[in-house]
Amino acid sequence: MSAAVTSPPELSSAQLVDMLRMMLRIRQFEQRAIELYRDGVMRGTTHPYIGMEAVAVGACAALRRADRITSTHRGHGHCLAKGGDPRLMMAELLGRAAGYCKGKGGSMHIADVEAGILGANGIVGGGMGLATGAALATKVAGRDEVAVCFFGDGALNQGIFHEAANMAAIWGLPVVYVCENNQYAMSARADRFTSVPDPAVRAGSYGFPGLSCDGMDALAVYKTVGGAVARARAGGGPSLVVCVTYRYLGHHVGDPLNYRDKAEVEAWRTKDPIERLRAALLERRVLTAADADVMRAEVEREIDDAVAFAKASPEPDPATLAEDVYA
Amino acid sequence: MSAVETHAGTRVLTYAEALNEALREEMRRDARVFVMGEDVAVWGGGGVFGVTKGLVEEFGTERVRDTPISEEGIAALAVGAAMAGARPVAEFMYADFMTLAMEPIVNQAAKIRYMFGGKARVPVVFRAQEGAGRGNAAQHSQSLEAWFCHIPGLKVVTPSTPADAKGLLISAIRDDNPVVFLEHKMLYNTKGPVPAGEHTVPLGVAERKREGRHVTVVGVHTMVHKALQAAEQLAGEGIELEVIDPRTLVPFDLETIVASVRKTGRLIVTHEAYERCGIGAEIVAQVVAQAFDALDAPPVRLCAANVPIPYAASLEMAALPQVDGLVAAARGLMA
Amino acid sequence: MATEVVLPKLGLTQEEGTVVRWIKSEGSRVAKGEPLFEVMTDKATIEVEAPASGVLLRILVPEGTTAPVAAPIALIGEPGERVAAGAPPATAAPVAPRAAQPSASVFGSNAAAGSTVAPGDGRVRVSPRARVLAASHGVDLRALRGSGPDGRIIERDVQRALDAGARGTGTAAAVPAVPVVPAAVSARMRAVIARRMTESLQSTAQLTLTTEADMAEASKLREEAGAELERRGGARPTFTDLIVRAAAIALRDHPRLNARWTDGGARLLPEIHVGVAVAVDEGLVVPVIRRADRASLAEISAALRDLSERARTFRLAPAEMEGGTFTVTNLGMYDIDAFTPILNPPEAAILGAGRVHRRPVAVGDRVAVRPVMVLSLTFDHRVVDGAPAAQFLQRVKHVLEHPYLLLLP
Repeated sequence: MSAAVTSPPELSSAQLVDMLRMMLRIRQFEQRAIELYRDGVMRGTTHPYIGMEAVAVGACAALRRADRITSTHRGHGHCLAKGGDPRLMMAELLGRAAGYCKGKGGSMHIADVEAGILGANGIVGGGMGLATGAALATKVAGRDEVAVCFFGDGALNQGIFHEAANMAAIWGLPVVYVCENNQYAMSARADRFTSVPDPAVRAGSYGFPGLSCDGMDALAVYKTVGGAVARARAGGGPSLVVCVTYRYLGHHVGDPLNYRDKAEVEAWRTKDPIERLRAALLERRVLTAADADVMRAEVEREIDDAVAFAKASPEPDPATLAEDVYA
Repeated sequence: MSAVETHAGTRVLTYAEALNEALREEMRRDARVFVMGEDVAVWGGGGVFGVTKGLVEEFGTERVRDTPISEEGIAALAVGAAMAGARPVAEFMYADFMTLAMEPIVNQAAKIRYMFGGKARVPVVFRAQEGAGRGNAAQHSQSLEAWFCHIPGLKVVTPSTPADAKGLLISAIRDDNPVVFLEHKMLYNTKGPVPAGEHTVPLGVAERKREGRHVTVVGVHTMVHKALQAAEQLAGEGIELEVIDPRTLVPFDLETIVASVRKTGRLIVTHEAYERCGIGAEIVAQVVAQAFDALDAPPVRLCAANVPIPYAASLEMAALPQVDGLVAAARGLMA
Repeated sequence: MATEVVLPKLGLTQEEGTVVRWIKSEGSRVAKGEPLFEVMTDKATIEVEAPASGVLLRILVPEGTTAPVAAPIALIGEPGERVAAGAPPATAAPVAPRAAQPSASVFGSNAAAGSTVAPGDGRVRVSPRARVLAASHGVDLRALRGSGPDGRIIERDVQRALDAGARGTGTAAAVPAVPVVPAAVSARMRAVIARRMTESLQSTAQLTLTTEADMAEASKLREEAGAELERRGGARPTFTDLIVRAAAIALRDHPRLNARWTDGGARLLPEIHVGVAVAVDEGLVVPVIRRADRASLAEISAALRDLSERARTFRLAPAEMEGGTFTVTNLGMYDIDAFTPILNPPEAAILGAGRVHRRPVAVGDRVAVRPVMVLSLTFDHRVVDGAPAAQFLQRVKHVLEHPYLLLLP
C-alpha cells in the first residue's frame, strides 16, 4: 500500500468532448427534472446536482464500464456519468414501468448493475460499505475492477465511513472514496460540523492518501481521482479524494435555503464547471464555439426525447406489486 | 471430528460440526463463497463456537476473513461484495450485535432487489447465534428473529437440529436472496444424525418432529426440544403433542401447521424471543385467519417474559419458557 | 467434612470433559494447588490443581471417563471422614433452582382460557370447531352443556351428543372413527335401540300414511339399467336403491319433510342425507347416503351395496351412521305388505316399503295383474301436516311409476 498516487492516462480530444457533453446532459437533465417536479408530474422529491457536474464527470472519465460506483441521494449526475440511460432514468423519476427500477425505486434508487452503477442510495453513507464490499469481492476473486464511492461532506461523519475505511485500509482494497464537499449537509455547514477544517486529513487516520482538488474543474477531478483509481487498480489500496464543489440549488426542491446567502451562490456560479471546461476545450481548439452550440442543442433534444419517452410510458400495474421482492 | 458412523449414510455430528461441514462443502463447490466475521479464522477451534474450525487452513485468509469489530461494516461490505458477484457468508458473533448492522441489512440488502426493479441480486447469508440459558445476560441472550421476519426481502432461517442446520445452511448459501441464518448458542453442542453425502433442506418447508393427535406445538430452536420433552412426559397421560418445527420463518410453511391444527384443534406456539410481537404473534394470527373453524380453544403462546434476560440462574429460568410450562399449557388445553 | 473436587468449566461452551489421568492416587495426601488430575476437553488437555489439602479419599470418576461440568469427581478430606459410598456424578445442568414467580405483567397474552364474556350473561360460548361439527350434523347447540373453560361448548361436547344419537357404536365418548367390533355391540345396541324407539314414540306426534305404487315400469328399468350396470362391472340396482333415489328427488320438491323439530320450531335442513335401515345380527344399523339428491342411481346403488356389506360386518365408521335427514326402510324381502315404521329421531319422516307383489288391480275398468308395492310414510305432525306429507308421498309414487325420472339429475 505504499505506491504513490500515479497519474491517469492523458485524455484524448474525443474524451474531452464527451466530458463536456456529459456535463451538459447532467445539467439539462436536472433542470428538466426540477420542472417536472414543479409541474406536479414527479412525486416524492428530487435532489439537484446542478453545479457539481465536474465531479461526477471527471471521476467517471477515469473508470471502465466494469468498474463500479455507488452513488447518493443526489445521484442523477453519477448515474448519467457512469453510462446510465437518460430515458430509463427519466421514466423512473416519473414512476413508470419502463423506468430503470420498473417504477419501484424512484429518484434515490436508480441503479444499473450491468453498467457498474450499484445504485443511488437514500441513506447517507449507505454506499460506503457497499462500494468497499464490491472492492473486497474483486480482490478475493483476483480481478482488477475498482470501486468508486461518491458521498458528501455529511456522510464523512457517519460511523460507517470509519468502519469501511479501516477495513479498506487493512486489506488494501481497490476503492476510491470521492467526497463531494459541497460545503453543506442540508443546512449543516461543513466547516462547523466536521471536526477538522480539511476533511482530507481524515485519510491519515487510516494510513491511506487523502487528497483535495478543485471540484469545479472537471480536468482537475479527472487527474486526482484518476490517479487514485490507477493506484488502486495497481494494488496500491484505497484513497480519499475530497472535491471542493457547490450545489447552486437547495438540498432538495423546496428547500427554503435560509442557511445560505445569495452572494455566496453567485460567487460560486462564476466558477461554473461547464463554462470552465467549454472554455478549456475552445482554448485547446478541440472544439469551436459553433460546435459547442450544436452540442448543447443536441443534448437538449436528447433530454426532450427522454422526457417524452417517460411521459408516454405507462404506470406500473398494481399486479406487479409483489414481484421482485425475492429472486 | 467426533463423527460416529451409525449406519451407512448417516453420522452423528454436533450442530456446530454440521454447520462446519456445510460451509466447507459449499466453499469447495463454489469459489465465490467466502466467510467473514470476527474471530472466524485465527481464534482457536475456529470461532467462539467452533463453526469455522479448520476452514482457514483449507481455504486461506482471503476466503476465511477475520474482520475488525465493525458490525455495520461487516454487513455493508458483505452486501456490496454480493452485488459484485461474490456469495459472502457474514458472521455476527451474537445476534444481539446485529443491532449495529441494521442499516445495511434492512435498508440495503433487503431492498436492493426490489428497489432496483428486480435487476440486482444480493446473495448474502448473515449468520448469527441467538438465545439464552447460559447466564450471558441481557445483551448476549436475545432472540431477534421477529425483527428480520418483519422486513420484506429477507429470508429468515432457524434450524434446531444438526441435520437441519447443515441442510438449511447449504440452501441458504445457494439462495440468491439475503438470508438471515439464526443458530442457537445452546444447540451448538447437541448431537444428531446427519446424512452423509449431499444433504440439503429446502427453505420454507416445516418438519413435523413428532406426530400426535391432541395439541399442535410449533416451536423455534430450543423450544422444539423442550416441546419434545413435554410430549414424552404427556404421552404417559394420554395427551399427544404434535410438534412442528417450522425451520424457516420467512418464507413460512403455514400449510403444514394449518393441516395439523385442523387435526388437533389446539395450538401452542413457543419461542425464546420475548412474547410481545414475537414471531408467535404472527403465526397465531395466520393460523386463526386460515383455520378459525378448526380451533377448539384459543391459541396459546409460551415465550420469554417481556424483560431483558436476567443473569441469575433462577431469574433466567423464570424468564424463559420451560418444559413444565408447555406441559401445563397442554394440560390446560385438554382440560 | 470432605471437599468435593468437581470437573471444572474451562471454556465458554464446554459441557463435559474426560478425566484422562489421576496424578495422585486414592489414599495419597495432596496439597492445595498441587496438580491433581488431567482433564481433556474438545479443545485441549489441561492439568487441574487440587482445590484443598488433605487425603484424596475417593476417586469418583476414574481415568477415561467423561463427566459433565460441575460434576463431583473426587473427594478430599481427612481419613475417617465420612463419604457417601460410590457417589455417582451429578447431572450436568447447573443448579436448577425453583423458578422465581414472575409477575403477570411481563407476560402479556394467554390469560389461560380467559374469556372476555362474563359468565351468566346468557350467551352460548362455542368453539369454532364445535360450531362447525354441530352445524354439519344438525345438532342444536342450545341443548348442550359445555365442558370447556367458562362453560364453553367444545368439540367433545358435540361429539358426545352425536355419539349418544348414533346407533351401533359402543363407546359414546370416543372421538376418532374406529370400526365397530361385533362382540361388544349387541347388548349395547339393543339398549340403544330400545331407548331410541321409545323416545321416538313418546316425544313425537307421528302417524303413518300409505299408498300403493305400480312397480311395472320400475321393474323394467331395474332389469335394463341393471344389465348395463352389470356389463360395466357393477351390479343391478335393488328396489331399495330406487326408493332411496325417489325419496331424495321427492324431498327436493318437498323440503318440509327434510326437517326436524327444535325448540324454535320446525327447522328445514339444507342437505338431503338419506339413511337406509340395514338389519344386522341382533340389531339394526342405519348407514347414511349423503347428498342423495345429487347422487345418480348408479352411485346410490354402489354406495348402499358397500355400506350394507360393511354394516353387516360391523365395519362402518360412526361418521357413516350420522347426519341423516330422512330414512328409508324396506321389509319387502320378508313378504311384508305394509307397516308403520317408527321415526328415526331427530328426523321428521321415514318411508317404509313393502314387497313388490303381483296382485289383481283395476286398470281403467278392467282387472289386471300388476306388480304393486305399498309405501308407508310415517311423519312427525309437529313438523309437517298431513296434506304436505301426503303430497310428498304422492310424488314418491309418481317418480317410481315414471322411473325415467330416477335417471335425471
